[in-house]
Amino acid sequence: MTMWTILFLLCAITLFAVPLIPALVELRRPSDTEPLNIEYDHDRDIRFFAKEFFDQLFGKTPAAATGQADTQHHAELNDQRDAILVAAGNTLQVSEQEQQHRTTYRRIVGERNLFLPDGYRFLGEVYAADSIHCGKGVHSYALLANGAISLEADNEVGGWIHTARLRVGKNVRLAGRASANEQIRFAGEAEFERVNAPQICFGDIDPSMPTGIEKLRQSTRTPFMPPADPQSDASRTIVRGDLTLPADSILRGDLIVYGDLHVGKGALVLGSVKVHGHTKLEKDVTILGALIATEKVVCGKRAMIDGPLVSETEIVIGPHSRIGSASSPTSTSAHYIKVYAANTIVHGTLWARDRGISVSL
Amino acid sequence: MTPLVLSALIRLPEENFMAIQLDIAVRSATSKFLTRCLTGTLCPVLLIAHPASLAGTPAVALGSAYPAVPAQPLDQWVLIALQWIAMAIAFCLLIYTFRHMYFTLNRLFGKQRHPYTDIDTANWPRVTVFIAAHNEEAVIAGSLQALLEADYPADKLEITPVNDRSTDRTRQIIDEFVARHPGRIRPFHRIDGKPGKAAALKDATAAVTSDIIIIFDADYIPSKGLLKQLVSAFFDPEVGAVMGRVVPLNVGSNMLTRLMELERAGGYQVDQQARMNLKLVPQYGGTVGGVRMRALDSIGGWHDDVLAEDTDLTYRLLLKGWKTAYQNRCECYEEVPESWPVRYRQISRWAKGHNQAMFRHSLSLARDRKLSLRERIDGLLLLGVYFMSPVVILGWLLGIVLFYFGNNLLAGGLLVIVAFTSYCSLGNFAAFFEIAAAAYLDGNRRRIRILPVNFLGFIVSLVGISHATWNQVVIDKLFKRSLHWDKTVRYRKAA
Repeated sequence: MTMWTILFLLCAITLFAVPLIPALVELRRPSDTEPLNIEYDHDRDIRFFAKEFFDQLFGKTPAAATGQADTQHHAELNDQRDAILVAAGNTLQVSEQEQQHRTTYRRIVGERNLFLPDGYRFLGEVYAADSIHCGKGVHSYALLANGAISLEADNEVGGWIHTARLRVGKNVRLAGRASANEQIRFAGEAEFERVNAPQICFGDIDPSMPTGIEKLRQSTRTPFMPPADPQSDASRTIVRGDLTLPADSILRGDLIVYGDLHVGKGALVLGSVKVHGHTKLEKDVTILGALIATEKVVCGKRAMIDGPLVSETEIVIGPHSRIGSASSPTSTSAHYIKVYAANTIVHGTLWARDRGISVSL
Repeated sequence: MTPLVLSALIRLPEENFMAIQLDIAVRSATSKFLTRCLTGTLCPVLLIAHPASLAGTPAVALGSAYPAVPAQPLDQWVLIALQWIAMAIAFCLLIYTFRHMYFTLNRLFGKQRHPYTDIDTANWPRVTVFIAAHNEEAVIAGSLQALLEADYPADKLEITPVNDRSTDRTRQIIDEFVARHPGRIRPFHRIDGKPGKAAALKDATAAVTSDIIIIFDADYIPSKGLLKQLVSAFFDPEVGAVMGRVVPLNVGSNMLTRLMELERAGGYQVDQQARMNLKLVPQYGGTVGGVRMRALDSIGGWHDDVLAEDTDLTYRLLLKGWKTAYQNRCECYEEVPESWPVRYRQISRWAKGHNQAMFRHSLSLARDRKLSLRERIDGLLLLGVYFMSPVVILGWLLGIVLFYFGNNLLAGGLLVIVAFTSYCSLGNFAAFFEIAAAAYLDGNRRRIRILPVNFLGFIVSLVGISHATWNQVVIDKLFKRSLHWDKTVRYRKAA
C-alpha cells in the first residue's frame, strides 16, 4: 500500500470515528439518563400555587386548615421569611425605605382583613384570613384570602390570586391565574389570562334572564334538513363547505362544518359543533353541547353554549350571553378572548393564552 | 454514505476479477446479470480474502477518477428497467426525507396546535378505562392503583382490567383490588377465545356502556390528571380517537433503552405533533389513548384478525370521517425493550401489523375524495413507512449493481441519494434531525451525544422489518402461516 492509501484510510477512519467520541464518552459515563419528568400528582388545578402557599403558611395539619393563623406560627414566619404580620384590627405598616419606594418584597400575612394602600407594589405573596382590599393602582404578585378580594381600578396582579369572591375594578390586569370558590365579577374594562370560578360575571347581571332550558320551552323551531353527505348519520351531520343554519331552526345531533358556519337568530343545536372555518352566531342562539372551532368565533347577544367553547384563534362573547351553567361549568379557551361586560356570565374556566379582555358596551 | 465508500473500495481493475468472471460466465443475458450481481456483492469478500487485490488500485481511484469499468453490457431493457426502479426508490426516499424535514421545521418554527389542552372544567362524559393485561402480575397493581387515584369523577369512571387468559397471579391481584374497592373496578376475565390484544378488546368492548374507552397497557402508570386531558379531545365531535405521548421509563438501563428513548421522543414530540399541527393523520397507538364508542360502532368495532389494531383503527376511523387527535402533553411512562432480541421481535410484529394495514387500506384511502389531498398523501406515506425498509435495501443493491453495469453517472447519483436518505426516510424510527429536535424541545440536550450510535438501532430495525416483511409477503403466503401476536417482555419487578 502506498503512503497515500494509508493516509487516506487514516483520514477516513478519523472522519468516521470523531462523531463517535462524544457518544462513546456518554455511553461509558452516562450523564443524561433520567426519563422525561412527568409529575404524577399534576392535575392542572388552577389553585396549585395558592394551595402551595397556604401549605407553606400553615402546614397541612387540620387545625391550621381553618385559615386561622396562630401567633407562634406567624412569629416563625416573620423570622424565617421576612414577612409582615398584620394583627386583627391593625393596618399595614411598612418601613421608611419601603414607603419611599412604595414597594415591598416581603410577604404579608393578615390575621383578619387587609387594606393595601394605593400605588404600592407588593412583590411577595399576600395572605389575609378574611378579606383583602387593594387600593387604586396597586401592583401585586400574589393574593390569597379566605374571604373576598376587591381590586380597585388600575390594579395589576402578576402571578396568581385566589379567594372566595373576587371583584375586579376597571382597567385591572390579571396577568396570571385568578380563581374564586364562588364568584368573580368584572366591573368593566379589564385584562385576564386564566380565570376560574363557578360564576364569572361581566358587568351588571340580570337575575331574571331565563336559563337555556327555559328558553327552549318558550319557542318553537323548524327542523333543519342538512345537505346529504354519505358520512352523515342520525347523530352527526357533516357539511363539506360553508353552512348557514337558518333563523329559528333546530338541528339535532352533532354538526361538523368544513367551511364557515353562520347560525341564524334564535337557532338551536342539540349537540356539539365543530367548525373548520369562522363561526358567527347571531343573537339568541343556543348550542347544547360544545363549540370547537379552528378560526374565530363570534357569539352574538344572548348566546347560550352549554359545553366547552374553544377556538384556535379568537372568541368574542356578546352581551347577555351564558357559557356553561351553574350545574355544568365548562371551559372557554382561545388565544384571544373578548367578553362584552354587560350581563354576561361564564361558568367554569376562561383561558386566554395570549390576552383576554373585558370591554364595556 | 457507507454503500458509496464500499462500492468505491470494491471497484477493482479488470484483471483482478477477470478470472472469476470467466469461471462463472454464462451466455444468456439473465445469467450474465445475475453473475455480475454476484460478482459485485462478493467483491468485499474477495478484498478480505486477497488484500493484495487492492495493491494495484490507485489511491486516487477512491475519489473521482475511476478507471473505466469493464463493459459487458447487460441487455438494454433490463438495464433501463433497473434504472427506473432505482429512480423510483430514490424518489420515494426523497419524499420521506423531505416529509421528516418538514415535520421537524414545523415543530421548531411552525404554529403549534394544542386545541384541547385548556379544557380543564367540563361536564365530563362517562369513561371506561381498559387495562390490557396478559400475564402482568408484576405490573398490574401499579396501574390499577394509579387509576383509582385519577382526578376524574368517580361516578363517571369505570376501571376494567382486561385479563386476557393470564396464567400467572394477574387474576388474583385484580380480584383483590375489586374486593378492596367495591364498585370502582369491573374486571373482565377472559379464559379462552382468540389470542391477542385486539381480540381481547373486542370481547371486553361488548359489555361497555360508556361514551368513551381509554386504553392503557398494564405496565403504564397514568398520572392523576391524564384521564381528563385525554378525554378533553372528545368534546370535539369530529374526534373519533385520541392518542397521548408514550415516554420510556427505563431509559438508563442500557444503550438500547437510551436509543429507544431517543427514537420515541422523535416519533412523538416531533413526528406526531407535527402531523397534529399540520392537520394530517396523527396515529392512534393502541395505548395511552382512547376511542369514542359511537365512532367504534360506526366502523364495526375492533377487528380481531389484525396484529396492529391501533393502525387499523386509525385508518378505518379516517375513512369514516373520524379524526384522531394527538395530545402531546398527555404523557405516560412505559417500559421499552432492554434486549436486542426483544426489540427485534417487537419491531417485527409492528412491521407485520402495519404492513397488514397498508395492504387493507391504501387503495380505499387513495380513492377517498372526502379526505383532503394532504391527508390522503400523508396517510399513504404513513402506511408505507415499514414497507420502506426492504425498499431501502433493494435500493442499495440496485445502486451497486447499476454502478457496475449501468450508467455510471446516473447510478452514482442514485447511490448517493439512496445512501444519504435511507436513515432520514424511515418513519417509525425517527430521523436524526427529528431526534435532535425532540431532545431540544424536551430540554434533554446531553443525551443527543449518543445520536451517532442510533445508526445501530437503525440497522437492526431495517433488518428486522425487512425480514418480517419478507416473511409476511412471501413465506407466510407460501406456507399459509397465520399472523400471531407476541407479548412484549416486562422488566419491572413486582412491588
